[in-house]
Amino acid sequence: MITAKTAPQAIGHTMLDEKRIREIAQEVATANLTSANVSSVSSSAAIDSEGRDALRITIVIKPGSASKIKGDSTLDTLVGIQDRLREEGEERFPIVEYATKKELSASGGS
Amino acid sequence: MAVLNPNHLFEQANKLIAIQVGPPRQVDIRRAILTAYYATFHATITAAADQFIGVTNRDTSRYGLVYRSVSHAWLRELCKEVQKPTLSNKFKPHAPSNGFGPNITAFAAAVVELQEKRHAADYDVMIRMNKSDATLAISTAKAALRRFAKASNARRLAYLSVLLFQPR
Repeated sequence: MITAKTAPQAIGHTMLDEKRIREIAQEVATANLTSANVSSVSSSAAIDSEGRDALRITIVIKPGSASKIKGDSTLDTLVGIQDRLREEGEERFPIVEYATKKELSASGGS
Repeated sequence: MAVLNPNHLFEQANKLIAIQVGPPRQVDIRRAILTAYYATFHATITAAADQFIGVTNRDTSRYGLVYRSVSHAWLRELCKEVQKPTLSNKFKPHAPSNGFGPNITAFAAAVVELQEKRHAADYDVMIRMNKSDATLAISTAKAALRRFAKASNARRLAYLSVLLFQPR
């Protein structure tokens, strides 16, 4: 049965809906990185390096925040997101990445 | 024997994305992410070889044998395993009685994540990598090694034992 919170994936994995994933990631990111550094969070389906279904979670940080954020905070954010998603039954591996809004909108190669 | 100093690798990674005119090149961002991962990889393998062969034996061939015995795939598999709330049966007898604990678990989470980014940096030309992510990958890798060092000797030894002597 498809609920508001989770939906079964075709191959049998449990998947949280995008909104709940963003809520979890936003809560964990803000708690560890502070709202002074976090602008927003987005998520999308991805495939990991082993070809398995994964989640790409993008934490949008404010300009200049990358040099202010401590490694312990990003590590706690990673562990926190993984733990919360697992607790809620999400089986996909989350790939957590960071970008500023400007970096996200950048186009073209260098 | 030239054991790679993780701090030197982190310095190299930071240099690649240091402030310059305009955004860093994709090759530099990607190389910085690769280097952050390799710093954790080499630090882990060095810890294992130092533990079982000995720091004073770094110049011996057996040190080199042990150093080369760990694959990226096995490191990833083990790191995924130690993060599980309940270990698989084949790992249970080799785990500390009170589990691997939060420091090893956090270290393991970072290794898997960094390896994933490293793979994307090497092979995925469909995504554009950015300086913020590379900067924070380096910071995360440094923090991961600090957590590994903070783990109790018993937990670290259990992890390194399973890393070198794969349970069957």
